[in-house]
Amino acid sequence: MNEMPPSPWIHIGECPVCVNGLCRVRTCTVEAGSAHFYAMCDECEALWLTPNTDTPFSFPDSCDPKCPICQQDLYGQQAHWSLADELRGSEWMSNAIFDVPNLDSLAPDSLATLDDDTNYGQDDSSPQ
Amino acid sequence: MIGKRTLATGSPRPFPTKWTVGLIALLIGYALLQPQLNKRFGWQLPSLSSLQQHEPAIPHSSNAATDEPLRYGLLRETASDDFISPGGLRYTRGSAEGHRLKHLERHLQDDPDRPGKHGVFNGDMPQVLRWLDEAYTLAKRGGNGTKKNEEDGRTVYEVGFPEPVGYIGGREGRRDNHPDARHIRLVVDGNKVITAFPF
Ligand SMILES: [Zn+2]
Ligand SMILES: [Zn+2]
Repeated sequence: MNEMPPSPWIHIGECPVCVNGLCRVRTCTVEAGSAHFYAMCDECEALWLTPNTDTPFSFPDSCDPKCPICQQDLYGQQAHWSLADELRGSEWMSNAIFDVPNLDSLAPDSLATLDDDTNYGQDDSSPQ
Repeated sequence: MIGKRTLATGSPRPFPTKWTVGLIALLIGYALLQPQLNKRFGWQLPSLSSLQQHEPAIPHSSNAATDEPLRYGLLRETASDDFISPGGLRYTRGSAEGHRLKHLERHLQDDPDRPGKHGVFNGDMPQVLRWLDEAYTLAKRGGNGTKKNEEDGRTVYEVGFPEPVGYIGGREGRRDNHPDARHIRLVVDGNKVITAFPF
């Protein structure tokens, strides 16, 4: 799966468990086409079903991680970091943080670094 | 044979001075240019010191007991894509990147666009893996400068190091001029590494 990172970064804040992780919103789709949302720390994989890190969280099985809502593969083709359009009309739209990259991050001296790192957040579940 | 030739000619023919000087100049030029060329063009020319040590170019060495290659010269593969370190940490498939080692590699470079902090290790993978083993050993022992927090099956260890092991990147790190990071936070499930980064 070659999913580009969404822009802006959509999250519900920093992770209360591992501190540096970002609790990013994910979209998962069932076969019928309806989407559901949850937040996942992109470091420790803590999961939230509501857009508030003060609410209870859980962890997926580290060997066989599943979507906390539909139990499909957590990193399957049907799931990805959310795009803003997908969240319209949901409680996530009004509660999530839409972090637009700073304009100074597009200064010439940082462009090379950004170009080199466009894969961050890819859902590549292929064996390494 | 050299010995015979020496006998036949009386004394070995001296190596011309201009050749010696030229060879030395060539070696100095290579030593100076090699890192620049690698950086500029992404080549993998070996350094002179690595050539002297006859080390293999690939990041594998041999496990004397089983004679199987070790990933990054340290990790033994116990099953497909399942690696164990000398300190007992397991690196398995998982994370959005597909493998915990791939996720760890994300912490070898800055992500300046990322909101908040992004811990970046100073060293390469072998160095990072050795630091993680050290952190794991110290944290399990519960010594000074270590913290342990358990959350629903995940254990979060924090370990202080006397010297910087990395720096703080991401947007917040950039705003603060990339301060040194002297701690490692290691998240494990049992002995399986979920993530680790400097802070
Ligand atoms: Zn976390
Ligand atoms: Zn799902």
